[in-house]
Amino acid sequence: MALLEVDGVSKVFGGVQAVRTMQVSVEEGVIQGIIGPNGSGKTTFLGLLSGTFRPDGGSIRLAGRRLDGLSAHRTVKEGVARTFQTTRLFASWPLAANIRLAAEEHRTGGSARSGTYAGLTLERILALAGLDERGGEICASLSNAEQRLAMIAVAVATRPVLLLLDEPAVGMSPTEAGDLARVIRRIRDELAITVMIVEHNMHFMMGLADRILAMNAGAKLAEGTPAEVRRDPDVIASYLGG
Amino acid sequence: MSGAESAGRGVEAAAATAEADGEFRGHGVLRASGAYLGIALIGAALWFLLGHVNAFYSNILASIMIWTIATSGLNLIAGLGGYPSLVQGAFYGIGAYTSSIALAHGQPLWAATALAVALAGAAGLGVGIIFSRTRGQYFAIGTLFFGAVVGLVMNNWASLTQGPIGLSVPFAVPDLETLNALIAVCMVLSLALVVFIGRRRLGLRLVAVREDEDLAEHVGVPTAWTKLAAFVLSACVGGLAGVLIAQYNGTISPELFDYYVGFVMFVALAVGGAGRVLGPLLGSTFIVGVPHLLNLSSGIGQLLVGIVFVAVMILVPGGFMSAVDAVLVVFRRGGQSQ
Repeated sequence: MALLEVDGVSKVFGGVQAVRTMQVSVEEGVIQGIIGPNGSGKTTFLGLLSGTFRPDGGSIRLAGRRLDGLSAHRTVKEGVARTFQTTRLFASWPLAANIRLAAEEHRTGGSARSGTYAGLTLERILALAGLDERGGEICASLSNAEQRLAMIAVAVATRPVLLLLDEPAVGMSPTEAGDLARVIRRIRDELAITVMIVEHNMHFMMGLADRILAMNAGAKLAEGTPAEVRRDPDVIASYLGG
Repeated sequence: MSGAESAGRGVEAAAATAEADGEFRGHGVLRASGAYLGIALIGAALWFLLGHVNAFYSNILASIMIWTIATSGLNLIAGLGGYPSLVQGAFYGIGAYTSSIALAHGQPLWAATALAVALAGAAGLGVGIIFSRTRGQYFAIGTLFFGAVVGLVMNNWASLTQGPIGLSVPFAVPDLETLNALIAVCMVLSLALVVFIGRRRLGLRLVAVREDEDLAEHVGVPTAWTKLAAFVLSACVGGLAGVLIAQYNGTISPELFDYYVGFVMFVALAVGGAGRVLGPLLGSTFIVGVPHLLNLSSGIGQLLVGIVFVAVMILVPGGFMSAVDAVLVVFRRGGQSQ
């Protein structure tokens, strides 16, 4: 059975069908990319998976457990964490305080006293995100790329099974995007976290994702390996070739 | 002022940096006890003043201290949580009326107080459930509306409240000295509650909600429950302040708890420093004390309060407490350079 099973999920915003009867399954340990033109429903779809929005219909299952209809904080407890398209951190706090808040809400083993959160230490989380030595910095004083990585570190601190990244490479230089890709791979490899990424940067996405889901007008257009999706005539017509 | 200063900084530092790990914990305990000590010293000093200044000043000081209790309750939801509640005056009124009516029915003070606090808390629960779905100015308008409704009830449910004429309150505290001590103790407890909550999980969650509610929800903070808990606590503390003002005044009437009062309490908190432990004390001193001390007629007093509110929000958006911070920073720099 796949880790994530999305069955016929839809969302309407004031008459606009943002997502229509999505049918997706994601295997455990996969880095799953989602591409599509602006307004094709990618971010809404992530929002449905993370409990930001409630679906109007259909079901979402993570390892067999129903997620649809749960509020965001319950969805996080079930193991789905997300980052946002715009940088969102508790900007006036030190990075470490951001991570601790997230970790404290999800402490299942370990203790605050020993500084371990279900086996993950603050230092380990920072190191995984490539932010060693930055824990004491106020988030607002980090660079754009560091803030994007910090958002991922905060999401990882919730010990997710599935991590949803909404355009993580926004505003990054090619070098920084390369570092980001390494961070994402390490999170998948070392913590066995399944990752879904929405991204416009095709170069970034094609090199990183194991599978790609192409969306258009709120619906699934194609699904497969990057090579398959790149050859798909519908995808070329609606997006890549457009 | 070192006690006052550490009390003021306690919550902000604790909540904002979330000293959750062992490394900082030992240090944090010391700082917390410093904050509690500072608050106790302030309470003791004000209690001493209450008994040793003439009746005119004692009266003003008691009003300031009771307002400090009410606005300190407000500090939980509006200061730590960042939710602009304009309904604190209604909980204050519910506490005053409930305790007075219970006392008139022969209940002892402790039972009347418990009932008053419980009823204010229940009202807070109701308002919280309805309006915690709204944010920002919509929350403010919603809570203001509830305050207006409570004012209408107090004015029109004449069989219970005797309407605009008001109630005569049965004195349940043996003498003024005891009442003064009670007011000082309650003020210390209400200020200490803010430090206590600020250092607990609830306080951290509230500050997270204030900073970015959606983000807080997405890292696992149960935001709806957090806001509701803070709102109910705020209402309970407001109710307690109402019991004290009724006992102090001896008579109560609806205009003491008008919707306008809830608004002015919010102004007092904002002017003093929202989210700061001593903000309510500074704000209440200004809002209650200055118009009385200058012997201003009520219209002029309100005008002055309004002008100062606007000026403070423009010049020091963090309120008087952030001005105190700025002065302390300059002072320390001066001290170090010598």
